[in-house]
Amino acid sequence: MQVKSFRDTLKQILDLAQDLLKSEAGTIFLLDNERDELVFEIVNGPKADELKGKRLKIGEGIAGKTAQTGEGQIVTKVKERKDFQSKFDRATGFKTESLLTAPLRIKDRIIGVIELVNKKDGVYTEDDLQILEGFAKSASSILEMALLYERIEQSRKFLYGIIDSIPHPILLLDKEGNIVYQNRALNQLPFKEELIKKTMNKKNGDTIECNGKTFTLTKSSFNMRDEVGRMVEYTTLIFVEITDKIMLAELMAQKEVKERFFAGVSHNLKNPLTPIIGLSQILMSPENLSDDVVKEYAKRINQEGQRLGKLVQMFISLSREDLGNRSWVNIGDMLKRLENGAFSVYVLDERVGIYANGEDLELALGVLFETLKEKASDFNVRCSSVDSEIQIIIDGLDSNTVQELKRGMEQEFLIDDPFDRSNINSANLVFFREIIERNGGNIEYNNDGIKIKFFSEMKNCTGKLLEKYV
Amino acid sequence: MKVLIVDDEPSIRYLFSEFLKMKGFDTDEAENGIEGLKKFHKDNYDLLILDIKMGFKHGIEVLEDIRRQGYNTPVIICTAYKHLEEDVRITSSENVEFLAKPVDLQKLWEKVERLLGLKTNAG
Repeated sequence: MQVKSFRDTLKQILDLAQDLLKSEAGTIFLLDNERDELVFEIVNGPKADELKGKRLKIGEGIAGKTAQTGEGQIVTKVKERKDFQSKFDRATGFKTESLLTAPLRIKDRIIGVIELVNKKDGVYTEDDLQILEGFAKSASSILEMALLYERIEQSRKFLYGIIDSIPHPILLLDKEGNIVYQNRALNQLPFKEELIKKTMNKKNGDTIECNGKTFTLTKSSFNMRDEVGRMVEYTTLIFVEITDKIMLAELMAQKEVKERFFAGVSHNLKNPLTPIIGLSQILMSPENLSDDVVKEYAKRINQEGQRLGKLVQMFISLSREDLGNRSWVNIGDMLKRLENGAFSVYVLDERVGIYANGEDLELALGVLFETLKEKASDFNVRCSSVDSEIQIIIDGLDSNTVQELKRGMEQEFLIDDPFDRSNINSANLVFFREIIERNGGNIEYNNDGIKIKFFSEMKNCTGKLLEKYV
Repeated sequence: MKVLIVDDEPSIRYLFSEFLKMKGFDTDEAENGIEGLKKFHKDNYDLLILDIKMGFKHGIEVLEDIRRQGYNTPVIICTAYKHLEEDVRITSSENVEFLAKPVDLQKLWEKVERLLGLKTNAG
């Protein structure tokens, strides 16, 4: 059913009545309750434009009396009626001869008056009055619906106005998921269609990535009357862009990581510095030291100096944003170089290699082995390859050490906790993990050890690759 | 006099031990708080040097434990964390000295002298 607006309905009622009762002109007056006046709302006839919006007091003139009493009126000769308001004729130049009026009601409340003017083929009769009154009565329910429609439309416009004033993109859907309304902010998005598409099947609170921006979705339902007055459920989807917030949070997190990192750096550098400064202080003191003691102190100062050098190199590598110089690196050779009495290296494929920053990688593996040497009495290092995967397998560790390694490596530079009970140097582990990952490797943890896996960039690598390297 | 050095850094234990032996002390070492407490209860020590950051039991916990057990043994806490000093002073200020890392042996000796009352009032 096509529902017309209230005004359209009034016009249709007047047209029909005028046609039915063959009248030259007609008016529908609406009651203005606040001012106790009737307003010329719909006017048909030669002077319609001049009369629209004009007003009559309740009780004034024929129509005013109908509004006051609720009774229809027949006026066959207006000249004979003193209460006829001739001012409108004078003003417009129209000549009113006869009139027929009936009240318009919604439910029992008078809302206005229908007035027909100048019957074309004679004069208005009692029958005409009955027809008009019956007609006005039957129009009541149509008017009621039209008024309801008008109010719904007003509410809808009000709602859409509010939605449009909100700076976040908003989508209004009906129960079937059809789009009912898109607000201004949504219409202004160049990637609107893509965003709407990505919204389907998303829940309240979900995050949507679209065109380099991030939105959180707020989804809620409410009931509103549709155009025919039925209560229908609608869903609003509000997209709040959080790209800046995410970037800010990331920046803050980076800043925090950096601060912790540098705090950790300073702490770790202090450890080798203490024996270097202390032993050299003793050497410089007037104490009589034997040659053996002097040699021992010098050896230890040298060891701690080397350690300090490694730490500095580690932190330089970590502070570098990029990977640094990469080249083909033979893993087997590297492991052999790092081998010492504390553990054995078995290279099962001698020519396996990866494209990586060899200097960083060797330092990182060296740091790991040094750390393990302090904690594990007997461990092995094997190097092999499976298809395109190159593996460094370290086993012979106890499960507690593996767990501690895992915990240490998973820390995000959290090396500045003074009460950290880890007895493995977390800075070393974080450095090791970071360098392995930067060079495309990943670390797996088993019960008795860890496995470091690299994917070789050379195709069909079966352990005899590295033609470039040789 | 006997000193127990509790630190997870072997090079620092070695340095302190060498230095204090040179000053005429007997020394003993432990690499974490739990081992340190065990040794503390087995022997009699005149002084404890505790690192804060250690595995299993950190230095402050060791200090709290021995104080709770009624021992008032002098303690030197080595820390790279300046802000912790105030916190520890509030809970246990008696017979405790702090030593900042990297440790200066001259400062270590001053604190040992102060805690053990070795400094003569000659001047």
